[in-house]
Amino acid sequence: MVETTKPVKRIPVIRSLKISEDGTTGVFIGKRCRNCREYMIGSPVFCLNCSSTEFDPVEFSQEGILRTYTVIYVPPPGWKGAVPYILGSVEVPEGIEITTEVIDCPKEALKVGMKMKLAMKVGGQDSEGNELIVHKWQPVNQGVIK
Amino acid sequence: MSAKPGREVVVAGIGLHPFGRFPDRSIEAMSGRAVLEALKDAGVSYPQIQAAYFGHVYFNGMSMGEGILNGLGLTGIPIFNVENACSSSSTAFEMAFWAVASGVYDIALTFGAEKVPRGPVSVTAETSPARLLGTDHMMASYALRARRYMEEFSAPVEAFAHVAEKAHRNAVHNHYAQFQKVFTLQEILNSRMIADPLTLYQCCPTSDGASAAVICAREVAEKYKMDGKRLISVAGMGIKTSAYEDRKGEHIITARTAKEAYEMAGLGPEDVDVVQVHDAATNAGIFQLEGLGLVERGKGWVAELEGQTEINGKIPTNTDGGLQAMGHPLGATGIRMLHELVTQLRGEAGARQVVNPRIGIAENSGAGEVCTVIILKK
Repeated sequence: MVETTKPVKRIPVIRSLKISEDGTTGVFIGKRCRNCREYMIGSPVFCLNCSSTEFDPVEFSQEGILRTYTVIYVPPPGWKGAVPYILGSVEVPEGIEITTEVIDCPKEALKVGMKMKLAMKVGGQDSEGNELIVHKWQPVNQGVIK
Repeated sequence: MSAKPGREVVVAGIGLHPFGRFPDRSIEAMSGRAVLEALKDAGVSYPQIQAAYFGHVYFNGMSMGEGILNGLGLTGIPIFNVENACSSSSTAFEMAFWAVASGVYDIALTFGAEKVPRGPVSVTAETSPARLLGTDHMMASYALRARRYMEEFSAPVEAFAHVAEKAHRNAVHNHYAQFQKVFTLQEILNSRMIADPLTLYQCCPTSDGASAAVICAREVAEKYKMDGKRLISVAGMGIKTSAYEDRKGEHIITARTAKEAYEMAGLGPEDVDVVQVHDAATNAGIFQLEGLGLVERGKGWVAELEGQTEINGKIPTNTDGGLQAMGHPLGATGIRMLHELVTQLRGEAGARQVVNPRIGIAENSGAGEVCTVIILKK
């Protein structure tokens, strides 16, 4: 079989997101400071807490707890998704909050304390037609834990 | 660290261009009006100014401060252009203060101006991933904090809406304000939802405007033949950016900044008579009172509903209408807050005058994050 078109690549929209080749699963990567043991998303050169440069690589948990949320009715410039949409801040067990869109959750069902899991979606395309993968939060179930 | 100024510095003159929408007026014209008003108020002329500090956010060509002031005369003074998000002009004011306090200059001009584009204000560049993620939304970040507070302290949304309702009632008596009309609590709550629980009338408007202040060393005020009774002392100040510890709770940055300002002034929250806080969204109008130590953490919403923040209350707040009713021309807001404190401390606030205030405090927040706190004393 001869390929006639360039295969579509899937590219995470932020560098701290590591995704599978088909773009359906992903995980946040980061660092843990060897000095103060704090976790950081991405690839900081210096620890944000103690300015150390000694780190161990980490992959963050893909589940966490919804700490706060808002439903946005007037979107910011550049937003291409549906309106209204939900933004949620989810705390992962490593102690960091990640804020992004919450999907598959009616706004009436939103509750602080809900368990959420990461989901990967196509957020747009770059100029070469590659798919830009963005991370979303999705309820694990309707149960609430504190 | 508590800073010690070399000598006392006073605000000698203040000026404002009204806040609102002025599509046909340039930023130079608006700034010029505010600056001339401040010079006149101080009783000095532009050639007497030894340095100028200009706060602004949006880029409109290089060296905007020079572009504005050159029209008042080419006096050759140093002009500093300061960008620090919504805290730009309070930052410029603090820089001017330290230059005068340390003896580099005797008299300085500090001013701020902005023409803010319509629509939601973005913090990031257009190429930022935040645009695709939908997270670059100033009012959403306030809404996320509002929801967290409501959950933690069982605060009702009415307490936030009350901040706007009060602000508009105060601004009826302020001819500089963008809005000079009363809005009912129901009108505020029923206005278009922006980012739940914040409705349109709980989000400050975008605005055009300019503000200015002339400051000088107390010891030279006589030389410039200033009216000693109208001089207001700059008693304390602080400026801070994000610290790692800030993520452990809400408005810790304000508490850190206020601590520095109170220590410098030798004063505490119990001494404060009149307050300005950065109520870009209504909930911040409550949170910042807690950050300044004026009310206990989690009790700000109760104080708001009890009327403690009214002009005749225990902690009169945003007596000129705050960002909610005055409007928010980003770079002009910090000095606008000081303009109101000076007006109040001089006893010249007319129908919105607090009874005999002696100490005023202003808190100005900016993206970054930045926080400035400035304490003025009669």
